[in-house]
Amino acid sequence: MMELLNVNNLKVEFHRVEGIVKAVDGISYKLNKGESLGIVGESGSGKSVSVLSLLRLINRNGRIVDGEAIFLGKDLLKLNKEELRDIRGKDISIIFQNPMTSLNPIIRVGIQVIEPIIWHRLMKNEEARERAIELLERVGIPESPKRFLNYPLQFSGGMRQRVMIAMALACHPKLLIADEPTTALDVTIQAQIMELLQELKEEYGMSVIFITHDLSVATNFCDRIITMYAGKIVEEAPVEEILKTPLHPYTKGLLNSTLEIGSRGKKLVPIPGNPPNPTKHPSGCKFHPRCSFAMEICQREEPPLVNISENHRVACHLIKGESK
Amino acid sequence: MLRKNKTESIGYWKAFWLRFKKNKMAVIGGVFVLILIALAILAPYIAPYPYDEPHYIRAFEGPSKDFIFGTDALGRDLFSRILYSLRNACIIGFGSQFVVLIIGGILGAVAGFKGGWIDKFIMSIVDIMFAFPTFLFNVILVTALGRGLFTIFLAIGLTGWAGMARLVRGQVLYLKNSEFVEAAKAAGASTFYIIRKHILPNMIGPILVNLAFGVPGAMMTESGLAVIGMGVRPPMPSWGNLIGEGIGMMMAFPHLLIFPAVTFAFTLISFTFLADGLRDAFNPRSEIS
Amino acid sequence: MNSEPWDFPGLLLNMSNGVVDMRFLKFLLKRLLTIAISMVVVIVITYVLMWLAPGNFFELQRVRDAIARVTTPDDPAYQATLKGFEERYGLNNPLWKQILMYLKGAVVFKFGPSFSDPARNIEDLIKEKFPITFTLALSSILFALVVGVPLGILAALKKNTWIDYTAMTVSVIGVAIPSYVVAVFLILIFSIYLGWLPTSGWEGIRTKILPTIALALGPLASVARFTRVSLLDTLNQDFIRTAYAKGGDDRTVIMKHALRPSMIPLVTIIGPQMAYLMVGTVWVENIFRIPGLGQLFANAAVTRDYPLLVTSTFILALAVMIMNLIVDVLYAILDPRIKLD
Repeated sequence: MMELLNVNNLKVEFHRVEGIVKAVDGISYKLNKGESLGIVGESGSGKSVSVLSLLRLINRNGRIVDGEAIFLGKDLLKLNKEELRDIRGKDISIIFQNPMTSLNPIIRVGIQVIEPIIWHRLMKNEEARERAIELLERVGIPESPKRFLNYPLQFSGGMRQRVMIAMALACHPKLLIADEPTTALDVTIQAQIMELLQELKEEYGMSVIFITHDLSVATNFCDRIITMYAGKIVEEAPVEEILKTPLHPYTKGLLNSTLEIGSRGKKLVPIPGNPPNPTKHPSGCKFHPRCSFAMEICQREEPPLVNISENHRVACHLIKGESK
Repeated sequence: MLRKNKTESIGYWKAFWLRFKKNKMAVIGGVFVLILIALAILAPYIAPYPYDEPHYIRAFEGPSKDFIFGTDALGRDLFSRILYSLRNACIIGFGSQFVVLIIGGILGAVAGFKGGWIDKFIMSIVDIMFAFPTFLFNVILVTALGRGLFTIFLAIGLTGWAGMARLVRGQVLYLKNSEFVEAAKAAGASTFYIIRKHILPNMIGPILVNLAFGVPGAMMTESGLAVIGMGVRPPMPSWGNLIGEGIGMMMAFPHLLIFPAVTFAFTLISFTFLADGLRDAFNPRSEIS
Repeated sequence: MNSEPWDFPGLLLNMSNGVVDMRFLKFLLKRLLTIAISMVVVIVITYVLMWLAPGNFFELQRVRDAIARVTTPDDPAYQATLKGFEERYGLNNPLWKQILMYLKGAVVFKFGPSFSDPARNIEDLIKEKFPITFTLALSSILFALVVGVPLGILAALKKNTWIDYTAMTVSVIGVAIPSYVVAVFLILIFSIYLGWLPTSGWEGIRTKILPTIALALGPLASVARFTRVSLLDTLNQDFIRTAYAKGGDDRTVIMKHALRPSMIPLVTIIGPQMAYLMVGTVWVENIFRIPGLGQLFANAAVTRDYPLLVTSTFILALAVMIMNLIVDVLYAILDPRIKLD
């Protein structure tokens, strides 16, 4: 399996009035071709920032203070403006969370879909237009030649998200980043969009990074899962292992607090406590205040991320203690 | 591994003060405003001459040892007159805003709190007042009420309360329905207590900004009245009066125009920078570099 | 195929829905009604205030004095002349009747003669002077927009640089200083010191420059600040991030995606600025001796020429309200999200 993306010790900080926020505190992961990786965590865990920063699409307050991200042989974090622009929308595309605000309200939808093609000079106007109409059709928007000329407000939320997907796919990207694409949608629409994404993933042979707070959605879609907490990776494993043998207490907690169809009678157990104050992280293991298994060492030392098996990593003193 | 940084959550007022301090222009404006207010209060004591004392022999003189800014057509000391103009302007500026606060504050609070047809009624009056160019109304009121210091700032206050009313109403509505008021009510607090402890402290910011802009606005209005001849009656000096007189003599004695214009502009700018700074400081959206 | 600069979807969308005709008309009617009611209220209040003001018969006093020079108060001819004046102006009627008579006349734009010049009807004066004031106001707002908008855009794009700080400081000054003070400074510099432009009058281009600039500086400052804030706000929107994520470069994103949405809210402050301008003409015309409505109003106030005062107030206020209406309609056309209600 060819390696597509290799992120190493990424650190991103934000400077706010209240202090410095370490949104991403040294994470590393790899992504292979054709793989889909799910990054799961609560709000504030750093999951979005960890991926958006790769394309320098974070808030102006944010600073990438360390790390590298090798994509097709080049370090994304060291690219200049032109190179970055070339990759965005063509090699790596993004679908954002809020379809209501992510489309320009006064530009026709079809034009917005064409733009990545035109800007990267991949096709002429007429060709691009045809392609856009095809794309709109493919993502499930009927009467696409007519809808091509509509404005975003003439579409519902789910339809707008489909437009975003069409936009992202316009240049056949190698990597698709989906930043909570269904969070803002109704549950039924959510299912439709997920199904569409599944089909397109196979059809286009793309690698996908899927960011969400909903572990169940991620497990249904992705090959591998990373769970993040307070800017750090706490566990990483193939999806079957995460479901069968989750090791980190946080991952376990996430599994216990989500509903699955057919799990009637199962008790919903929320994770106690709140996400940590971004400027005032706990000492030692950042999760320890909310962990029912916390030991004395958890307060003092941060657990390192270790390989338990070939493709399963965890950062927890519990597990470390148990392995030989 | 944690860096040393500000970890305690910052209170509302402290955050405001930090933001305000960063804005150099606002701080400078604030300092100047304080100086100007002091000058205004002390005017009767520091003015070298009474503002209406003529020295006919020395009329139309330029700046000199005896008369810092020179003299006008009747030989009156321009510096003293300007000092008293500042004083009158401050009286009118602050006085009118006091009226605005009372009328607008009460009407806005009542409208917000009671709701229903009272709210609708008051708001339609506010809408009419907004649609109507207030200066015209000022002129008419002053024509009717007379041209004294008090009647002028009353007139300005009477025409200027609409913005305050809208603001107060908005704040009251927002806070009335907010969670901590619900909680307080659930805990059995009386309406008055709720107003005092919960609603008022949160409203102070925007209200203060509104008033801060209102003061230079009122000064402008009064001077505007004076320029067309409807300001305080001479020999009471007002910047508008002085500028009006100065325009008449500008070819021959430009100092009669320059000094009033510059000092007036300076005063207005100081107040406005301060108000601007206050507004930015209360707005949590301002970033830090 | 690109989005054209004039591609503003609002009204087009509403029109294509076929809904606009009815709703638009209803909206228009409601606004016109509000304006009419406001005007009536204003006129009534003005009339009442005039009635209550001391020195009510000030003008009549002057007439009395004038008559007294040629005759004595006991002379029946004196009484007759006085009575004639009272009748001419309808002052012998009770207040409510006077107001109604005025309103009746106002609807058809006949306001009767003014106190100070019984020979001329007010509506003629207005017809003569309104175009002057309107030209002045219009040129000022155009100047403010043409200079203010680019300034605001520049300040936004070069945020936190010296260009930004200078522009914004200058704009605070522009907002702080009223137009008559600006006028004074302009006159001092360009007329007296440099001698390039005349200090008063309204003939030819040269006389019109200074008044226009004096009037325009305040709105220019407001427009610049507003444009800057609007553009910065727009640039923070999600859809701009999307545009960058698609591979847009700065120039394209700003020009195609950011500018037009930021221009739309600008329309909302044009209304208040026009109001400020109409009022500003009172001062500026006074200082530059321009024979427009503003000067008419100012003179009426000082000489207590009540019919003229009421009428010029009415006309100025009406102009402002109609401007606001036009502005609101324009806003609806430009922004597809606005549903006229």
